[in-house]
Amino acid sequence: MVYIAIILGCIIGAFIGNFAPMISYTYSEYLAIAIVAALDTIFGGIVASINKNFNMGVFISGFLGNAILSILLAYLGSRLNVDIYLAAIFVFVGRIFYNLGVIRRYYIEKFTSFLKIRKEKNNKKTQKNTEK
Amino acid sequence: MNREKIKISIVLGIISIFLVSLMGVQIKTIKKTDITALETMQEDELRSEILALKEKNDELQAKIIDNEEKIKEYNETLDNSQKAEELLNNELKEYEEKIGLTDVTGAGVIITLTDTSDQSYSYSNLVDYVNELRYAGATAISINDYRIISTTEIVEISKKYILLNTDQRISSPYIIKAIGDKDKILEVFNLKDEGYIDLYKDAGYSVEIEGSNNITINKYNKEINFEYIEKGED
Repeated sequence: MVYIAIILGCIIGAFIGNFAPMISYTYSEYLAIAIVAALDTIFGGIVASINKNFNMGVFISGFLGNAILSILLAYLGSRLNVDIYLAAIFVFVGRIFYNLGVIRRYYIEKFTSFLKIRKEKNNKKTQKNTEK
Repeated sequence: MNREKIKISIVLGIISIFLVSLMGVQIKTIKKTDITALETMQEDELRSEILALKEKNDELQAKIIDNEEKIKEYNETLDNSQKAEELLNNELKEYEEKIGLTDVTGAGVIITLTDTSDQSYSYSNLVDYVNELRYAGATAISINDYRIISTTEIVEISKKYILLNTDQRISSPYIIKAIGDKDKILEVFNLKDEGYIDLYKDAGYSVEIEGSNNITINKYNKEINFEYIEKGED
């Protein structure tokens, strides 16, 4: 259900983005970091839903707050001539990989447990057959 | 399928719409902006390039200003030389007029001297007339349309012929044209008893004088030769 919603959102978003106006190249840097921050929040949300501790308020505030904060930090960095956006990308992408790892582990565990259950079922079936 | 999960799905869907559309904008911007050349350069490379171009620009600007000033100067000197040329030309013309190298017109007198059976004119009479005309203020004189200038000689070659300007023979009647103050010349020549007209008429010569407001005197049409003169000082 969650994944269907995400895929649908992606398709609609791609459609909108195709017709959206262009922005100045100077600001594309800030938009990029906002996108990375939002991606981080989304993966965080998926992990939270897996762990069953998903909180809507935390998720939405994280989504907007992280994006806006990272833009502000990048802007401050460009003012101070310090590449703060690099640090922000480091943190966000690091967290994205971590969350991806959590998601991967979860599904691998799910898959292996599914295989185990099937195998046990098969074993039980053959036992019954031999007993007959 | 609980309500919580539906809510999550909706929120995630909306957020992914937002996110992907932003990504689309970003991708489009990057694609459309022509940064292939800029991207391959480092920032400080670009900076140094900009600085170099700026310097070049400044230099060229200075050169342009310099050249403009030079053009202005040239134009000024051109104007000046044109003025100088004009002045020199005027001066040349003036001198040519003075020494008799141009045709001139103006008011003056025409004196006609004719030999008669009693008396015929000699070269010295012509010299006297020319002298008298000069005394009366004539500025240009010709005899039989030959211009009399500062180097003109009037000499006798026979009883019948007088030589002017090296090789111009003249004979009676002698028509002397003179440009000058008409009234003054007439006054000088017509002076009673003392004037040339009375003097010559009394001696039996044929002489006539008349004033005219439009006399043309031809230019001296030979080369003026100042041989043997070393260049003098001003």
